Formats: sequence, C-alpha cells, structure tokens
Amino acid sequence: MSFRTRLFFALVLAVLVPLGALAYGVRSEMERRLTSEYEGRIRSLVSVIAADLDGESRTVAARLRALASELGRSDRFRLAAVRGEPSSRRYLLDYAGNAMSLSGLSLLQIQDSAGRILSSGHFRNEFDRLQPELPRMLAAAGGLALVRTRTPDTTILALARVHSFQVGGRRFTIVGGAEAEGRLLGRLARDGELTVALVTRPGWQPDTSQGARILRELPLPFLDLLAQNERVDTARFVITQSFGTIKALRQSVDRWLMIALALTVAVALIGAAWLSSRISRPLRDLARKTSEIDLDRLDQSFESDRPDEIGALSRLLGAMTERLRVGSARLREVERRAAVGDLARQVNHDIKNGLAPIRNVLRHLSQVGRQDPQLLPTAFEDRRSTLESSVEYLETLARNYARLSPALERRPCDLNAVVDQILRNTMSDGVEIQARLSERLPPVLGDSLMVRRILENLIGNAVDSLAGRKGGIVTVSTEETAGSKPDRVRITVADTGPGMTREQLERAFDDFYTTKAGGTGLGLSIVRRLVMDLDGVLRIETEPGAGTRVVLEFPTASSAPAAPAP
Amino acid sequence: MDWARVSNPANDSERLLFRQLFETLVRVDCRGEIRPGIADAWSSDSTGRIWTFTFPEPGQFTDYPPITAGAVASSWKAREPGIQALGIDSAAALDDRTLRVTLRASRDSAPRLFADPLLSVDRRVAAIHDPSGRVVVPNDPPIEFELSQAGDPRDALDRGVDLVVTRDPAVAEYVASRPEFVTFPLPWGRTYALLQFTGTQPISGIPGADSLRRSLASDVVQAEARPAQPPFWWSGPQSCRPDVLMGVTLPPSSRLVYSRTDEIARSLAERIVALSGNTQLRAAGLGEIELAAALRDRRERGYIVFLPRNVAAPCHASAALPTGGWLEPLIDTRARAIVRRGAPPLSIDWSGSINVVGKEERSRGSR
Repeated sequence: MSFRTRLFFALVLAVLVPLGALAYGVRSEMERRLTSEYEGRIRSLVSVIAADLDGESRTVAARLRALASELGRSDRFRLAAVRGEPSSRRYLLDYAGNAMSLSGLSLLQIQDSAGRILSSGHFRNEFDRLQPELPRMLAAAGGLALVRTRTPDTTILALARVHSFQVGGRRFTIVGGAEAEGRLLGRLARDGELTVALVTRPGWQPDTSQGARILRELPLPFLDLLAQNERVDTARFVITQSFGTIKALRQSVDRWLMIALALTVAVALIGAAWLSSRISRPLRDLARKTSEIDLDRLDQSFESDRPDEIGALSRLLGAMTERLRVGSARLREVERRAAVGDLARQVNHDIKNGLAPIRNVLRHLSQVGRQDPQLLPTAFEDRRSTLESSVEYLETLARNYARLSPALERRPCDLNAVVDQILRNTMSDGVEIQARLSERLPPVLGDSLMVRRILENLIGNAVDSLAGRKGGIVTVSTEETAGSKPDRVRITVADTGPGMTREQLERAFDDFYTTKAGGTGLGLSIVRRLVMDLDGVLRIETEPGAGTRVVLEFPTASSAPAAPAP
Repeated sequence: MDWARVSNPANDSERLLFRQLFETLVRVDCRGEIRPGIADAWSSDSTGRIWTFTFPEPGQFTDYPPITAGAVASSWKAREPGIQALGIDSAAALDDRTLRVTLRASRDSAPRLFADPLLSVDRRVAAIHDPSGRVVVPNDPPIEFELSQAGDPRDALDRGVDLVVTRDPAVAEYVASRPEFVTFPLPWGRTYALLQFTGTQPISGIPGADSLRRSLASDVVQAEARPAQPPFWWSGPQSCRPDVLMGVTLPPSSRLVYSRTDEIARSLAERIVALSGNTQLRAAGLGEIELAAALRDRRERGYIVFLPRNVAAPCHASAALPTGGWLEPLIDTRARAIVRRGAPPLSIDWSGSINVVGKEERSRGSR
C-alpha cells in the first residue's frame, strides 16, 4: 500500500470516526432526554388523572348533596314522591332533567327505597322502572365509580356517586355523575404521543401494530348496567405511548445523520485524495529525481524553499547530489590521471621496447667500431633490418597514439565512396573482399577521415582474421535502415574468420587488448570512440567458428539537426 | 304545487298558512257539520252521483277576482289522476257560478268528500315571502305569518302576534293570567301511532294498550293529549287498506325512529324504549327525508308516526299509508289557539285548521 493510499485512508478515518462518534452521541442523548421527558410527562399525567378523578368525585358529591337538600325542602317533591299527588307528578318526572341541566351533571336519577325510578335526567322516560342495583352497586364501590348506562338513543360512561336522603320518613337515593369519555378524556388526551384511554373491557391491549405500548394504568370501579350482571368490575385509565412521533423523530435524525455522513464521506474522500496527492507529490518528485541520479548525471536540482520536512529532505538530497558531483569529478580526475599514467607507462614501455633493439644495434655497432672498424659496414648491413623494423615499429606506435585523439569534422559523407577507396588500397593477401553497396545510399553526417579510419580498422581486422585461411571472404555492405528514426545508414563488415569467444568479445573494446600477433590492441577501442563521436551505433555479432559481423549505423545527413555555428 | 303537501301539512304552521291560501267547495266545521266553502249551495240528483255546486255572487269588499266554477274545473283537470283517485269522474262548469261534478259511484261520504284538501283550489291571492321568513297573505286585512317552528311562542305573543297555534302547555299556562288573550283548544287533530312492518320482531315489554296509552298521554308527552280513541279511520271498513304483506323478513334493526322535529314523537319513542327492557333498542330522531326513506325501505324496528285524526276520504287516505305493517294507536293530541282579543274572527275546521274570516266571508255569512 503506497504512502499516498495510507495517507488517504488515514484522512478519511480521521474525519469519519469523530463524526460517527458524534452521531452516536447525539442519538443516544436524544433518546435519553426523550425517555426522561416522557417519564416526567407520564408522572404528571397520572397526577392530573388522579386529581381530576378526585375533583370530579368531590364535585359530584357536592352537587348531589345540594340536590338532596333542595328536594328535602321541596313541597312539590314531597307531594309527588311521598303523597303521590297527581298534580305534582309531572314536576317530579321533569325534575331530574331540569336539575341535571342546571347542575352540569350528565347522569341523574332519583329512586325510592324500592329502587323504582322516580325521575331520570339522562333518560326522562325511564320513570317507574325498577333499577335498585345501581345505588346498591355504587354504595358497594365505596365512592366514585364508572357507570355505563343508557340514554334513549345511546349509552354513556359517567363517573358517578350515590347519595341518600329522607323525606317524610321515606328513604330516597339520588345517583349523579359526570360524563367521563368526552369531558375527562378530552381534557387529558391532548398529547399526540401519550394517549389516555378509558378501558372497560378486561384484557384490552393497545394496537401494537401502530407502535403503542401501555405505560401506566389506573383502576376504577366499573358498573355496567347494560350487562345486567349486577357485578362491580374494574375499568382502567390506560396511558399508552405512541411511538409514531418518536419513531419519526428517530428516523428524521437518522436520515439527517446519514446525509451528513454521506456528505462528509464524499467531502473527506475528495479532500483526502487532494490532500494526500498534494502531500505526496513532492515526495514523488524527489523519488523521480533521485532515481535519475547516476555518476554520469548529477545535474538534478533539489532546490526547495519549503520550510517543512520535505524541504529539508530536498535540501539534504541536493547537498548529497552536490557531494556526489564533487566526488564524481574527483573520481574522473583520478581515472583520467590513472589512464594517462597507464598510457604513459604503456608508451614508455612501447618506446622502450622499440628503442631496446636500436640500443642493442647501436651498442653492437659501437662495439664493432671499437674492435674492428672494417667490419662496421658489414655489421651495419647485418643489423640494418633490425633498425628499420624498430623504427617502423616506433613510427607505427606514434601513428597509433596519434589516432587516440582525432579531430572531429562533421559534413555529409558518401559512405560508398569511402568504402571504394579503402578497398582499392587494401592489401587483400589472398582474401576475397566483396562489396555490396546500396546504389541509393544517402550521405551520412560525419568526418570522412574518421569514417575511413573506422572502416580501415574493421576491414583490416577482418582481413587479418582470415590470414592463413583459404577461401576467406570479407564482405562490406551498405544499406539504408528501414523505419528507424532518425534515418540511418547501416554498414556491415563481415568475415568468415574464426569468430570470437564470449570472453574475447567482452574485452574486444578494451584498450590494448589484442589477439593478433604484433597487434596494438587499440584498433577497436579507437573504432568505438570514433563511432560514438559520430553519434553512431556499433554492434558485433560473432560466434566462435562462424565468423564475425560488425554492424555500424550512422545518422543520415538529412536527419541530423542543423550543425551549430562554428 | 304539491297538492299532497297541501292535504297533509307537515306542521301546524303549514296547516294555518295553507288554510288561508287554499279553499274547498265546502268545509266541515269543528262540530262535523258541512259548511259553505267556495260554494254556498249544493245539491245532488237522485242517484247521488251528480252534484251541482252554486258559487256566490262576487262580494263588494274583495279586491281580488272571485273563484269561478271554470277555475275549479280547470284546476282539477290539471291534476286529474289525483282527483279521479278520490272517485270523481268529471267536473264541468255550467257557468261562472255553477259547477257540476260527476262521481264514479254514489258515495256516502259526499258532500263531506268535497272538503278534502286534495280538492282545494288556490284563492287567487299571491303570498309574499320576505327575506326574514315572513309570509304575507293579502287578505282583508292582510295576514302576516311567521312560519317558525323554533323559538318560544311566548316571545311571539309578547311581540304582538294576534294568533299562536301551539301544543306546548307551558304557553297556555303563560297566557292564562294575561287577560288580553283568549285560549281555546282545537279539535283533536293528530293520532300518534307506533308503526311496525310485518317481518319485524315486535317490540316487547310494552304494557297493555290501555294503561300504556294513559301513561303516554298523562306523563310522557309535553302536550295536550289523551289515549288514542277509536274509531280509527285507517282500521275501519271504510279504510280500504290492502292486506298486509306476509312472509317477508326484514333486516334486523334496533332503532325506533321518529321525526327529529317532533318532541311528542320523541317522548313516545323514548318511553317505549324505556319500557321495552331491550337494552339494544334505541330511539333515533331522523330528518324528514331520512324518515321518509326509512319508511319506504322498511329498515327500522319501529316508527312513531302521526296521522290526521279525521280525514274526508278515509279510503283514499288509507291508500296513502305504508302497506305491510300494523299501526298501534297511542295518543291523540290537539293544539291550542291563543288569540289576542280584538283580532279578526276565526273559523275552525273539523281537521283543526283555522281560517281567518275576512270581510267578504263575513258579508256572505251575514247574507
């Protein structure tokens, strides 16, 4: 994994991890606070329900006491209920309805001691019916109870109490109540999430498919007059919580967190990619420059004005390159001096080798001159060839050393012409020399003298390699290379000689390496240097016993860039 | 013009108004005697099928064109099917003052038959409706009506209204101490009944008919009422009611329905519900259209309806009753007319309709 990739992931993680932690924290805190708030609201609601029930109970009781007191003082009630006076009967029948509307009650019934309904407010025309169970059950409930009873056209649930009073020595009961569902629940159930339901069915459960659950229940005695079972059951105020709102809130928070997360991821990805690229780019540049450094190329610049670590590293690399540059120069100087020393030693050695026969001949001639001057001409003649060969050797040496540093002169050069001239002056010594020259060969850019020296060496080497071999052939061919850029001309000097071993080939271009008797070992070294000076290419294809092919390629004059002004 | 509505007004206000706008050839007074209406004389041939009605001379006090025999014949002709259903074969005007009516067969009910509101014609006076809901009938003097069913009638009396028709005993009590008003009862005009259709489970728990009727009349309704007293025109031999439907099972219902605007019907329904002992039975007030639909569809357990106490043509009136059911008469009720002293004289029909007697009628009466 690259540094840039690691940096990228590190930046992404550096953004996402804190954001994820923030999202988790916000959600957890919201959950905790909502739960706490709900608990408080539930406690408050339970208190309100209890207070309302207590208030309703006291209100109903107070109104029943007031009505009983008024009835006790009423002559018309006494006449109708005690004495059965027909003229007051309608007053009695309508009393409960009128009193109910005046007192704000929703249920009002007056019964005699036998349980006969004398007057009913919520159901005016149920008079004379026997319903003794209602006051009895209410008394058994011991206070406020929930009563389900009927009106002419519907049923009502009322929070009811019973009160008894006496008129004319007779006992009467008065049952009164306030409507429970509409008035009480309507006051309580204003919360969209907390719902208060008055449940009279045992085993009732909220609709859990809507995400509701029971939080708290308040029991209450319940009398169902419609069931006609004369039993006190238990009704419940059930507080349920609907998860709809909180669920929607959670979903909303989650949605926005996800949106924020997605946006942050996108921004983090883009930012991390940009930042990692920006951070790693100088390092990549340093790596690229560093990879291009070698001893022949120490001109890379590592200059930087960055104040950070990368700038420091760049400056360190620049200093190191500078030290390498200085070291390389010193090394080259040492190499140059070593080469000059080698050459001087070689020259010294060669000259000594050339001078040694001459000195011997001179010493011999001096000895003959001192001892027998008449024999001096004869001795001279005897040793003359030695002198001449030594001088020739020295001349050859001088010529060869002079060739080590030729002067370069570039101009269009006709290779075919050069090859022709060389072949005319070459002593073949029985070797067949064949020329296969391309007729439409373009001129090359180079020094014709240098080209000649190259070809003389190569052709000479080829002829020398065939010395003593019958049927040897040296082939010189020229041709234009196809498809190369720049356009080049190829010259091939091939022989059918013994070829070279791998070791010989590896040392073929070393100075002073030769396999020829009397060879200087400088021919191919000079050839290589001259070819490189002419921007040419040299390749040797050889195999022991299969001859040698030396292939040269030179750029054509037309492909070379314009020569710089002298 | 909906002549069926004219013959069977929805309430006392409509009855009072229609009586001023429409007139029959003869009328039946509160004692059941035949009195002149549009015609002031009538006779029949020996077969009892052909009746000749003579119209009075136009009076000198009226500003309106008199009703002619031709106008009556034309009006009947325009609604011929309804007229013929009453047994009238044809009507022809011999001149402006003579109308000859041919019955399909001799009828014992004639000439009372000609007092049926279905045979009434308009008095050629244009009632004026003003935006406040008042109706002015250009009588002599003009009569101004408030057709309100809501509100306290005592307020109307205190505002100076001359005539109030009410069924509320409290109003009568209110004016008892007011010397400027005279109160008199109108004829027993309505009979309330429980209607149940064949195929419906009878409402149980109702005590015997006599004691129930007494209780309903005395304790239940807030109106002047008495136990319904036979004979009932819809159950006698003259009723011509078709046989009840048999073998029909109606959908179960737990409602005893009544007209939402009728307090007497509501009280009756509630008392029957209270006495039934059936905790599922409910009293339900319906609007006029809903009640008519429920009667047509027979989808309720029972219906509290009222019928006119007296009709001129029982056979024809019975044909208009819902078929396939039985009627349990409950109570008769009557309204009271409260009249300011000094108001124009009134005449009261057998049906309980009140007619404000104008100058022309007074002059005819004097003749």
